[in-house]
Amino acid sequence: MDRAAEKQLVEKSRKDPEAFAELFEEYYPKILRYNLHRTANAEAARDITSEVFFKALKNLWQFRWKGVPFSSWLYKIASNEVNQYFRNRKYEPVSLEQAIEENKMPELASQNDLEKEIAAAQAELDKNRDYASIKGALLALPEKYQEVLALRFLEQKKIAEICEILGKKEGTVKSLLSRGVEMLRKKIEAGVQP
Amino acid sequence: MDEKDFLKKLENAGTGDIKMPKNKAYIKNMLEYKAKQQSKKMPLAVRLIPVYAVALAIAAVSSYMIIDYNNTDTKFNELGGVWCTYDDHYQGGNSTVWPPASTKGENNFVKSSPGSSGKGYAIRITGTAGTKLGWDYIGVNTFLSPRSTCPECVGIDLSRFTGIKFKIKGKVEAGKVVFIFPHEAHVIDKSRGICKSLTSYADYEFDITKYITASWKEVKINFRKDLKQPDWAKPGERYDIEKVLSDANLIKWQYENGGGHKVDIWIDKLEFY
Repeated sequence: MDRAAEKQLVEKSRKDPEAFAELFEEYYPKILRYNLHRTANAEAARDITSEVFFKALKNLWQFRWKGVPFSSWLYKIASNEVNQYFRNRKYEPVSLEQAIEENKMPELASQNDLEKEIAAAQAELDKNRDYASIKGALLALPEKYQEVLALRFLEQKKIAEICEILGKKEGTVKSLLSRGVEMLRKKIEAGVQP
Repeated sequence: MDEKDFLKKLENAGTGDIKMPKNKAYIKNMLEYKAKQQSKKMPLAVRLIPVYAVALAIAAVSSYMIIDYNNTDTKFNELGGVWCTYDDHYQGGNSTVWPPASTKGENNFVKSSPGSSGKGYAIRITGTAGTKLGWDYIGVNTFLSPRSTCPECVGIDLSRFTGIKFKIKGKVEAGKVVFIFPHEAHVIDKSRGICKSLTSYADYEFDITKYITASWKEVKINFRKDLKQPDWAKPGERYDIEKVLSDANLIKWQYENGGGHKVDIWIDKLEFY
């Protein structure tokens, strides 16, 4: 989606929250992918992704254009949620659960189907040998290195966008990347597991 | 494994898009339910306010938009629009500009280094004003979105911003350098292959010559206070500044009245504020 169209959609969603569904359609795959990379857990990634979009919907009025894509804001929320997941070692998608309680269960899929899909996603994630070879070492690093490494190498983000997502200066991000790569490499060579 | 191979391995470790369509549809359904709830809670007055007015209200809290900080060497700014130079050859002039202006639709633009912080890049043009026309000129412009050039000529809405700021340095032997805010139609001027000017080029402008010295200086231009259309603009070519800001295709820096003299301009850290 080009920037002008993205901007139009965000402004439309501020006025008409029901238009937010288009933003969800556009960015759900990217945010899910990021959360999968960060957690290596399909169920947690699904829960975190849902929470990201609920929070984005609720707080859209606070979003400010700063010359970077809207997705940077979504990645920022996702990073915060992932870090919470690691701190608590469990995750409760509060907003999704609340919406389920208030709304009737949709008949789009049974709970069994949803769980099967999560299991299939986990298997697909585990099948990627390159990811599997670095996953353990990546998850063993402190959060601040995991974030920048995942955004730069797994999500292919540019430095400027990483700075915006994490709220850090360019020098800091570059330094974290440089040290992170070195630490990751040492852990892989040492055969580290989380 | 050497560092290069290791970095390649890291990049390859990114998984493809793992799809969970049923979960996605489930979450979307819940989001839509929540959005309906949110929509009902919004006061009717807010739901009826046009989008541009909402944008203005948000702008009151303060906002900025980076046009180009020139951290990378690319023909494109950070809004996705392209940089290019131009001269007066179309009108029979003999001004020269570097990077060279397009002659057959190609784009020869390159950035120069370093930028205002001593690293990165900057927009630089050099050239010599011609002597044939009497209004000889060269310049550089940047489009404000990928759709702002031909054939779409679609502008973006800048009405929530107060102005533009950027850093500049250089040397102006004679003549002046003006910042120009063109007003263009959504159609092409077929004779020139560019978006049609609605003002016959009597655009909003601001003289920035005095800011151009050997060291970097910040220029801050207030759209509504500083920009003026030239005196020679005809009545049918005069537009309210709000109209121009609401549909902005590009911005320009133009060297004019140089009559055979040279110019060297560096521009960096451009943003709307």
